[in-house]
Amino acid sequence: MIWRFVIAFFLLFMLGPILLVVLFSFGSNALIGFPMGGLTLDWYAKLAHDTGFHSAFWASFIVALATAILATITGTCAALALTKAAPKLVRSALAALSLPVLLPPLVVAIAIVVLFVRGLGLGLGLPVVILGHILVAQPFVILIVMARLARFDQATVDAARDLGASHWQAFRLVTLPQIASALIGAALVSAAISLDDFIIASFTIGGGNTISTFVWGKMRTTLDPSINAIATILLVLTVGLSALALRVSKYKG
Amino acid sequence: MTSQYTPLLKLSGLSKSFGAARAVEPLDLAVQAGDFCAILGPSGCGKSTLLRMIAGFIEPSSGSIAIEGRDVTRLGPEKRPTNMVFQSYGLFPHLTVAENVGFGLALQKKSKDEVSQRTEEALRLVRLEAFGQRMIDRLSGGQQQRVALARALIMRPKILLLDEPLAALDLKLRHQMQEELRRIHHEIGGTFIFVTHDQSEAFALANLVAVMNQGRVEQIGSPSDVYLSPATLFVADFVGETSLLAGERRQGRVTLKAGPHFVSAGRDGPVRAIVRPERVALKSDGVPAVVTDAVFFGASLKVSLRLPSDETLILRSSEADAAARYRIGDKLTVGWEDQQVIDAGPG
Repeated sequence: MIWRFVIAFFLLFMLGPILLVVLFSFGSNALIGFPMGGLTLDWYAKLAHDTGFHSAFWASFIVALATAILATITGTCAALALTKAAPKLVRSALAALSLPVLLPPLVVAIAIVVLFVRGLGLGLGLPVVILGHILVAQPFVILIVMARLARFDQATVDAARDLGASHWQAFRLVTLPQIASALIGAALVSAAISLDDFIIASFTIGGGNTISTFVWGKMRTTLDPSINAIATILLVLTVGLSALALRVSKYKG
Repeated sequence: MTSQYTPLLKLSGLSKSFGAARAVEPLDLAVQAGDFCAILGPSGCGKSTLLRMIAGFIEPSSGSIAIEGRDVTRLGPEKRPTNMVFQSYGLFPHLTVAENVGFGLALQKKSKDEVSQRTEEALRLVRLEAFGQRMIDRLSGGQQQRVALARALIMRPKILLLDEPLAALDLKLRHQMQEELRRIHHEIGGTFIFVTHDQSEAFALANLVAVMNQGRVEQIGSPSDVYLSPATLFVADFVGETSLLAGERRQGRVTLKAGPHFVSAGRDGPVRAIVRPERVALKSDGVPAVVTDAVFFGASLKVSLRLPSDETLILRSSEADAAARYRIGDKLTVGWEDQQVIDAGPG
């Protein structure tokens, strides 16, 4: 019996703040606190008319889309190459490729600025944000696609070749349709990772905002409930994308 | 093998090494149009590597492959007039049965009518005409096997290659598919080459058998050649249940350790006599032997006998009262009609 209370307490402790954010985003009290007042969609309406939010939203959308597409392409190429490599090489390559996941995002962000901006002379801006997000998302793509390729029947590719398909035709007609759901899943995960990021974006965006840097800027000046509305939108987007990704890629455990 | 015509498939000095390991020793093989050829050997003998070289999936380390006199050694699998039935079938799980079968023709940009008509024909040939719209995972193992066969045959290959085609099927289905393969081979008059580790399967299907061991072809010949006159000890041992009896040849006369001696021309030195179990029978003035085991197989009784030389001799009897005649521990005398003698080298 006591365990139920413990579990309930921790669930409340972990999910409570998130629930409050969602709750307050629909409350009419401008001070963020109880009593929250009546239910309202005012804060969402306010966002709809906020040009700063508009540009941040579109920047995030472009970055997430580009990250999803590019990270999925490069990650899939890497995964396909790794399935042909010697097992010993695969282990060390995977360790190296997964490094950005383990490193603190702050370090990754600094490294990206040092390499792309100081080293290669690229100006700060969305392209560098996208490059940074690809760096972080790509390992996830590789792992997802490799998991799918592990139970992929290579004989299907051989059979296609035997029946007259070129390498490219065999890939397009036989490999791709079989791993498509994993690729869509990987793309959705990449988009979620991109939407989620604050540190890399804030270091590399230069002028302008993504949603996360926009919220951060807003937090420093005013604390009005439209932030709760943005947080709720982000929550729905990232959780929704991840859930969709799990569903599409039929990921089990 | 000694035809004056160009053989359909001619392998000359073909070999394959993976690093330092020789998977296939240089070998020559000629297969005539209409042949049903079995490449027979234990697992790891290089038979699948050989088949995949013929198909174009593995590049040979040396030698050449010619089909109808044309050198195809450097061609990729998509450019060779061969098609293959894979051991795991390699069916496309995202396509229907009909789409699987029509895959190769669709790649050739044949008209829709031709593809669907020939797909129908191919499915009829393997007796799956009602299954065209099914997905692959809704088929049994035997049905998947037939789809793989139809998908290869629809291409009208000069040579159909089959990699352990029946290994994944249970015994009864395997016998059915053997009959089916014989029927199809007869109906379309094609040339089939298949790889197997099962000698009964090789004998049931093939008119030409190549026995492989450790990357080397030990013997090429008709099933009866291979069975009745094995060229090497390995072939004798691998093909059928034979007994190998040690002996010595001196001036055209072989004396076995077990006792019997007989005339046999050849080099002086140690030999092995190969004795077929069905040739062994009770004989009043024969070699003394003790029954150590007797196994009833329905159609026949397999009896293991210990000879005075401590060697084991296998006897197979299909007489109705065999079980009563051979009981474990019985002492009796046996003889055999004839034997094959092979030089055995020292030791």
